[in-house]
Parts: sequence; structure tokens; C-alpha cells
Amino acid sequence: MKKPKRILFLLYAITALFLAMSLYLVYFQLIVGPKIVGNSYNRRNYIDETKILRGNFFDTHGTALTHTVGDSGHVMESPRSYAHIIGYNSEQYGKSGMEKTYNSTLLGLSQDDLFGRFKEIVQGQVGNDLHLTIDNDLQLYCYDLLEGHKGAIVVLDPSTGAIKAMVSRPSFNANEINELWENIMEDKSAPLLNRAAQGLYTPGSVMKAITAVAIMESGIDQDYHDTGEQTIDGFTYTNYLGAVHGEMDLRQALIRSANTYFTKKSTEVGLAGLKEVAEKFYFNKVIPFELVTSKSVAYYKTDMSLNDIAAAGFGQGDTLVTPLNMALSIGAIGNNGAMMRPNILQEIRSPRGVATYTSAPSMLSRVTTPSIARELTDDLVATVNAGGAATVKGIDVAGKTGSAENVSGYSHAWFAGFAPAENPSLALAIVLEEEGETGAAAAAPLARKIFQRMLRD
Amino acid sequence: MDRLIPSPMKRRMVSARWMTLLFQILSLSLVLVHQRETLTPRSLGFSALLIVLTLMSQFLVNLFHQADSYLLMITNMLFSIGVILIYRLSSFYGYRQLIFYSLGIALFFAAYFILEKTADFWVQKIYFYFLAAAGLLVLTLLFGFVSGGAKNWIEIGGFSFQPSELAKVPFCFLIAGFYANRDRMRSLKGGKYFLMAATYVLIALFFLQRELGTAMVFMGVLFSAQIAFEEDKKVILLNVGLAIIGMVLAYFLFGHIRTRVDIWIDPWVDMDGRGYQITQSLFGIAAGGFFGTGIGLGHPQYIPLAYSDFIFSAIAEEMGTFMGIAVILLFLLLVYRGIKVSLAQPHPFYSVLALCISISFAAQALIMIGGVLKLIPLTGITLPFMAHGGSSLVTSFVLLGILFYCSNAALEVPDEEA
Repeated sequence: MKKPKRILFLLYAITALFLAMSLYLVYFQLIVGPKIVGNSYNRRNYIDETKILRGNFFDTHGTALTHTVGDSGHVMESPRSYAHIIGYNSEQYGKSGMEKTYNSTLLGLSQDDLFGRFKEIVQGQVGNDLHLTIDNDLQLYCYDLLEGHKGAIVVLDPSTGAIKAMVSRPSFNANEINELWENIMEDKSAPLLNRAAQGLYTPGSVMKAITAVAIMESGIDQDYHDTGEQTIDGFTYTNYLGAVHGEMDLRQALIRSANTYFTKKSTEVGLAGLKEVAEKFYFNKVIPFELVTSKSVAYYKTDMSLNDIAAAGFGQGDTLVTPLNMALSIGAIGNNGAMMRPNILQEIRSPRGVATYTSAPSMLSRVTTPSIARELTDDLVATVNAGGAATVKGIDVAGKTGSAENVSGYSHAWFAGFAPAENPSLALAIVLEEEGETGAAAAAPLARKIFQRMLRD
Repeated sequence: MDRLIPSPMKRRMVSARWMTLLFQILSLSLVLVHQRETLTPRSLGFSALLIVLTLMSQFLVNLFHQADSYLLMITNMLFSIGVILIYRLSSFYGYRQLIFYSLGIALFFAAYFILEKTADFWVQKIYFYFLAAAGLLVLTLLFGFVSGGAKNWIEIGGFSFQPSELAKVPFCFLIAGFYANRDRMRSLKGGKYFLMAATYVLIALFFLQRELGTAMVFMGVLFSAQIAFEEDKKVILLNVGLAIIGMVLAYFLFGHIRTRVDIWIDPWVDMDGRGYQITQSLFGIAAGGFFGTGIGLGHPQYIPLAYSDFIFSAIAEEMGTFMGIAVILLFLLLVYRGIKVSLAQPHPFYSVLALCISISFAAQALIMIGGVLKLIPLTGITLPFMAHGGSSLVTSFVLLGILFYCSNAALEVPDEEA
């Protein structure tokens, strides 16, 4: 009855199946495994942070911006001022800002030295500290300056790209993110938004500084006879308060912020020229930065009407810019035409105090030639001096104001500038959202205060 | 008669026994270190009990010189790997598994003794086995409650168990009875189709309870038994044909089967929902690498049902792919020895019985490991001796005990039937 051969056949078949499964296991480990390990549904990628002493934040002078609480977390000293830079760290809602960008550094997950590793096993893991380029004194000051307003201030060093201050209001208490989350989500003023790097605003007249570069580079005739009106394709543009300026050159046009001049000259420069220059100023491009940024919009489509081009030229139309981009742009003019890459992280220090990373400045874009930049700088100094709102005794301040009309009906008040003009250590952009006042009236005086505080000590 | 017990007997037996002990000591130490902050006397009690029970069972089994004690020793190793990881995941389930183990060991020896005393009683029955198996399944249908997507649990006096697991025992006896009494069956009209018909009825009952995995195991055992013992090739072909038709029909008839096939083909589209279990299993296996993360250093707790359905994934994560391969090879060894028992046993009934039991272990292991590796769709059957589960563990030890008896070289062979 029994058929040993057939039973043996069964045995061989089963053996083959088992061995095949073993081989598949090996194949899985070698080929399939590495591909799926990084999947965001794999909770093994999310470390148990309560076992690690998170690193702390410091400003450029070494002032502590956070301090440790418990055995693993930390809280901010000034949770509202730094809410958008350092960001929140919540088990429920995740992380934002530098807490998110540098999470693995703060957890010390990339600890490579052997001694650190050993210490980890014995004492538990300790994270690295982050030293920022921010000047704490200035940061808090700027935050207070914006009290009662919506908007943003960005202050940076145009020669290195280091961010000295970056504030956005409305803000929120980042230390209490868990308790405040529901309210924040309902808040129509969007306090979570980092307006400094992500807020997109119509620039208005501050755009004229960039259009000026386009005008100068294009080689067109810079003279103009202003009659108070400029008609392009049936649409008539006027100046602020209907002023008539007569004979103007570029400098005059900047001083007077003459819309008529800029609309006409923009159409003369043409779409291609305007677009090219705007993109050198990093419009339509993602600015590499440690925080999330929005792309500024210089909308130049080939089938644009002349009026659209004209509007773009004086900062209206579909043009949108972030305060960060504006600060970088104005700073580039002051820095002989070199736009530097912005950065907030100055140094990473290991738990033992050793600097394991120090940031080095790098150029992001050459926006124009040094000679055009210097010429425009002089124009912008004259502009500030004529306006009088941003002047500082004993220092040459270069800059441009703007009052941007937008859908809300209340214009954004802008100021972008740098000082000292001949060798600027500070460049800034201020935008007061839906302020309803001119840049000269509302934004420029804030710039004066900042320059005074930082440059006149 | 073939020698089932390899020589030199004494040396080999001794080293196999100590291997398991060594493994237990090493891995238990790691688990205790991992749990150092919550150590209680009970944890040490667990470790001691496991070691003592294993040693006792190894010692006892080696007293049966006429039977294959390797069967239990391989199983003890498999069990240890499983129970230690279960304990690492949850001391509660670990204790329970250990208690089921002691019950299993007792039943293992009990099965041997019962069969030894009543060897001839079982040989002539056929319909009795079918009724027993079908009865168990009908019982579940009538009184059962659903757990884990299948209605296959029954509660008696506070304890829940799965009769479908238990049904494996009468089923193996049914096949053995059928082929041992082949001439009697053939003389009946349509008799040679009886086994197939009976099996299909049982499988249908399984389908009604959504127990697809066990249905597949039954199918595998029937098919293998036919290959080994069926003389009428037409019957085998008929079975293959019906099986294919059945599977296609089932796919189109049953939504939950289509679901399982969909999840198997692409679990990544629904990692939150249906694909959750299998994707988490794969993450775990991938996380372990070849040598594993180390006991206590991985995250097998992220794998759902890591202590039962996905115990293999948990083992692969913390003890590595090499341990996974070791488990596969241990099962292969167990099945190999079981088939060898079938080959060597001259008594027709117990030879068939041995084959059926061996194949059932093989099928369960293949289907289960294949499922968690996403080689085939998940089926919800358990890995014998390793997954947490009283019914599964106890049934497996009963089957092992029966297999152990089948390896009895001193069984009296009946005269050839007329």
C-alpha cells in the first residue's frame, strides 16, 4: 500500500518550499527591507524623545533662548517672539521651525564620536545645542515694535546673510501649543503663519528699487517728463496725491516714488527684461533657508498686456513678495550686487561644548553689477533723506518706502532699506499688513528706531 | 525496519538537549536585563519554570527508547524561541503561554499512553472521525462568537477555545482511517470519493466561519495524503480540478477573500486601514536586519498581534533574519522527522496518521510565514508551538504526542486486510 517514492517526493517538495522561503527572507532583508524602512508609517523612525535630553537654543551672543525642563524637554524664554523661528514642539501636533528642521541634531542622533556614544549608553542620550545668528535684544525689540500691528520684520546682515531678527505677528505662545491649538486653528488671523518668510504681500513702491535695477541694466533713456498722468493702452496711471513732477531722472522718480515714471519705463524695458531681473532677485524661486519659505511671485507671462507689465513695474498687479525676499533684495543692492544666502543657524555645539558645525556665508545670486548697485545705493540714500522718516543722525540710510494697494482696501505699509549705506551691516524689510497708512508714515519710523538702536550705540 | 534513532545515540541526544537550555539561559537573561526596572519574583519564577519544564520534558521523552524523542526536542526549541519573545512583549501572555505549555506537555505524554493502550481501537473507524470533526465545527457555528474576524471561538465556563483547531485531530484520523481501510471503502459505491467529499464538507464549514487559513491547511493535508497514498490517479486529478474551481468561485463569491487578495497585492495604498497589519509586519522584519536589533532593543510592539499572528515578524525583528531562517529550518527538521516516521512505520494506519500530522505542521508553517512575509495573502492561522494561543498550542502538542506514538517502533502490525 505504501509508496515510499511518493512520500519522498512530498518530502523533497516541502523541503524545497521551506528553503525557498529562507532564501526569500534573505532577499527581503537585502533588497526589499531598505526600500520600505523609511516609510512614514514606520513608527520606528520616530524616536522616543522622552529618553533624550534635547539641546537648547542660544542667540549670537550666547544668550540662552530656551532652558531645559524635566529630563528631556525645553521651553522658550520668549515664546511669542521666537514662535516662528524656534517653533513649537508638541507630541500631538508635531514640530515647526528650527525644532523641526534640526530635530535630529537637537536629539543628538548624529553623534559620531566614540566617547559620545559610550556616554549615551551610560548616561542616556544628550542632544546638541544650536547657536543662532539672531540677536536676542533686537529680536525682542522688533517684536515689541510690531505690537498692535499685523505683519513682519526681517533684519539681516547683507554681507553674510545672517538673520539678526525675524518676527511675525500675530504670534502665539509656542510653549503652550497643546492648550492653544484649537484656538489657533480657529483664529482667522493665522498666527501660525511665519509672515516673515511665508507671507506673500503686494510690494507696492518698494518694488521700484528692483525695477530701477532693470531700468539701469536695460540701457534705456532714464529721463522722463511727468505730466501727472501716464496712459498705457487706454488705462491712466497717476501719482500719489495726483502730484505732477515735470522733468525727472531715475533718482527723482525714486525720491518722488512716481508711478507714472515707472509704468512707462517698465513697458519700455519689456517683459523679458523685467522678468530676468526679478528672478535674479530670487522671485519665482525657492530661497534655500532653514525655515519654510514661500516663493515670491513675479508674474510675467508672454501674453501679458502692457498694463499688466506696467502694474508689475511699480509693484502692483499680480506681484507678490515675502519680507525675507525683500530684505535679501535690498541687502543685495547694499552689498555691491551680491545677494547672500540667508541663514539662522550660526553654530552647532556638541554637549561638551565643541563646535561641530559653523556656518559660512555663501552667495545666493548676483543681482546686478557693483557699479549699478552703488549708483542705486546713492539714489536710495537720497530717497531716504528726502523723505525724512527713516533718517538717522550721523549715518547714511538707504531705502524705499511702499504703500501697497491690495484686496482688503487697506494698503500694506512697507519699508526696505540698509545702513550704513557705504558699507551696510544691516538690511531690513518691514511690512505692516493692511495698515491703511503709507510706508513713510507707519513703516519708515520703525526702521529708524531699529537703525538707531543697533548702529548708534 | 529503519532505524529512527540516529547513532551514536547518547552523544547526540545530550547535545540537543543542552542547546535548548543554553538558548533559554542566554535569551532569558537578555529579557530580564531589558525589564530590569520592573523585575518581580514572578519574572524569575517564569524563567525558572520554563527551564525546569523543558528539562523535565526532555528527560522524560528520552526514556522512550523506542520512539523518536527528537520530535519533542525540536519542538521545545521552537517553543522556547516563541515563549521568550512573547514574555518580552507581555508578561501576562508569557505566563499564559507557559501554563498552556505545561498542559500541552501533559497531553503530549497522555496521548502517547492512551494510544499505547488503545492502539487497535482507532484503526477501523472512519465515519466517527468525520462526525467528530464536523460536529466540532457545527458547534462553533451554532454557539460561537466572533473574534479577530472569524467566528470560531467558543466559551465554556470562562475559557474560550477554538474548536476548529481541535478539529485537526479527528481530521487526521479520518484520513488515516480512510487509507488504512481502503479496500472496505472501495467496495462501497462511490466509496473512493468519500474522503474528498468529507473534506469538502469540512472546508465548506470553515468557509462559513471565515476560517480560510485552516481550510487551506486541510486542503493541503488531503492533497498530500492523496499524493502519498491514493492509488487512483483520477481521484487526485478530480481533487485538483475541484480545488481550482473552488478557489476561483470563492474569490468571486466572498468579498472578504477579495479583500485579502487586494491587501496582499498592494497593502501600501491603505496603510492606515486594511494594509496596516501586513505593512507593520514588514517594517518589523526589515528593522531587524540579519542579526536582529537585540532582545528588548527593537519595537515589535508596533506590530499588531505580535504575540500571536505575527510572532514570526517579532522574532525576525529582535532576533534577526538568521533566527527567522533557523525557525524555518527547525520546522523543516520537525516535518522531516515526521515524514521519516511515516516512512518507517509499518502499521498502515499510523503511517498515514504520521504523514498527515507532519504535513499539517508543514502547511501551517508555510502558510503562516508566507503570509507575514507577504508571499501569499494573510490567512490568520497560527504558527504551531510558537504563537500565543491555548487551543493552538494544546492541539499541536496533542498532535505531536500522537506523532510521537506513531514513531513507536514496537507497534504491532496487523495482518493484511482481505
